[in-house]
Amino acid sequence: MTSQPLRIAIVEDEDLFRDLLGLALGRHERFHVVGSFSNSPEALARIPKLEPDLVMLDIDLGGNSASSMNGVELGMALQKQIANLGVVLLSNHQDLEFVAGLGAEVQRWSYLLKKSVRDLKVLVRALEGTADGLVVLDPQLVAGMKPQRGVLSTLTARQLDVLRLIAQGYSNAGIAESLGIAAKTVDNLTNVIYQTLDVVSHSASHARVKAVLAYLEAVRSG
Amino acid sequence: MSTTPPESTSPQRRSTDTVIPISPNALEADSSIYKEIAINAQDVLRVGFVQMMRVDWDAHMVRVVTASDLYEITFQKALEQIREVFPRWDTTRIQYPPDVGDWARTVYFKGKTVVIPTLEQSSYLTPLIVRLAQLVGLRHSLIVPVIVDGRVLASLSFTQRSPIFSDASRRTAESFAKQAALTLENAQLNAQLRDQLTRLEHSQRLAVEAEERTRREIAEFLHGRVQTRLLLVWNQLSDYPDSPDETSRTELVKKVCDELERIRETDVRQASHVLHPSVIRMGLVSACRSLASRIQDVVPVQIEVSPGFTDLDVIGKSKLPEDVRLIAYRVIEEAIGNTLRHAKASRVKLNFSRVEQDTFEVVIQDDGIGFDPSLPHAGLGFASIDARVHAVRGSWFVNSQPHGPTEVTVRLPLELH
Repeated sequence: MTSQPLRIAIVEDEDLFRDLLGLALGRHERFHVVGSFSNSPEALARIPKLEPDLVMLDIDLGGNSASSMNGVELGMALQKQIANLGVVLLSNHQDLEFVAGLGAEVQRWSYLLKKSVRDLKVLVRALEGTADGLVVLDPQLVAGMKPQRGVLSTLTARQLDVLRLIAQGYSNAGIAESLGIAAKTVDNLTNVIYQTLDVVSHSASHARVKAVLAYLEAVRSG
Repeated sequence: MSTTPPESTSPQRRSTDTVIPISPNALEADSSIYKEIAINAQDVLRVGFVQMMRVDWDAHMVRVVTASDLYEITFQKALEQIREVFPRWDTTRIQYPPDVGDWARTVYFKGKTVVIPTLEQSSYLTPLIVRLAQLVGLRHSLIVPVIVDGRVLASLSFTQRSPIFSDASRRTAESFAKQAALTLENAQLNAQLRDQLTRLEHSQRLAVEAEERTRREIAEFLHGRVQTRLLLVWNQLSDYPDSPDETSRTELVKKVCDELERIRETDVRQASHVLHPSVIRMGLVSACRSLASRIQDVVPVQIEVSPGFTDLDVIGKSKLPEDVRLIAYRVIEEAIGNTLRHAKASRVKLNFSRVEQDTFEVVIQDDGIGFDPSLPHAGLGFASIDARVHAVRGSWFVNSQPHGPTEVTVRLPLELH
């Protein structure tokens, strides 16, 4: 992990929430808020010059003008202009359907419920994970993911626990600590999960992203 | 489109005291239009009597629709005599099949004008009416088909004393029949329009009623449940100053927080979803998957999507207009609601497909107890589906039988016009 603080831009049309988020991030040494905006046209015009590592975007960005975009559209537009930009989507919708399909559109994205923002650990994990190229899903969203049938039903309860933590942006070390098991065991479990979900990849972080997307798809179509 | 033939040439014959109107028994609802045609035709052609017959092809029967009034003094006297013996005798009760004789086949099947030399040869008139006609000297008929869209829908018969129908009067009679055809077509279009308007009004009323019902339910929900829960929280909070120690205060705050979270997460979200399912933004199938996940503990919903429909309803970038998605979603919600209320089903299946260039289809199937669709009460739960579907000129039908399964098929246009 780098010592440089992560440069973060915020786009949120609810004034109170935007201010609170800016304050919370500003107090943390790992983060540096480089700008906050209330609408997409202004954000699109000014954010590229700020060279952020991450943007936090309200998925429900309002606005009635033809140029206004929602959070997903704005994220895609910004990623075209800023290399390796991570997008953290903020949402009130605890609904997998808002997340489905995002993997095909956006890279380096995460989905966080607004109510989870007050939990600093969750916030930090999402921001750092996204900056490292992972896909991080909100813990409450993951808790609601009930695999019914299909490939996921072949996973053991323990393997499923590990997969859920991967989806929340935990590292293998973090998973080991959280479940109270050896790091080596986590590595083995992870490999079995990848095989079951048919994940083949050249890098560890890429494999994690693929596993999360496969997990998401399996839950939805189950 | 004008329905009035050339100016009447003998207005003095219209005086009411010399007119015996034909009994209206056999007249249809739109008889006034036909009556006008008959009277105008009589005036223009100066013949003794004009009748309009309507062909009911379904019943294979030709019936009198209307006739010109009978002005002739002799005719009136003859009619009075007959009615002394047969008080209910009615000249409009005549009916015959369209193939009753050669002349009839020529008129109704070939669409050509014929002359019946004498009424005795008409083969459909009762002896009594023939006698009546003879009494007043009306015995020769010209019969002209009235053709709408290539189909003979009616005929006009012109009966007079003279056996000779000049070419000129023939042409006039035929052009009159054309005018009658236009009038008839117009009347049919009007009736169709009226029918459509009535249906539209009906469906709009049902849609409005459904909206009102939803609003009332949400109002009751907010006023009842949400308000009560908020009052409870308020009540708990007002205990705070009286709390004896730090532990009970922390506990109280936690309880209040949990309760507020429950209100926000469950109640507010639920009410908001009923008002507008925001996930519809992501696509119709997405909204239905979301619906399925919310009711999966009540009944599992399996969703099948054809490749053609997947291309159309791309997640987050659906090519279906949001209005259309919303209507389809409400219909599906309603159909599943019906299933939950009545069907005792153990599973529901949704199938989405594109059926034509401009139409898509949703099939909602359940394995419940089914019902007999021909029973009147069976349709009740479908009124709101019907209203929504018809409002956008879609179509739908239900397929069921006692012991099930039940299948509701809805077809909607890809775009609203």
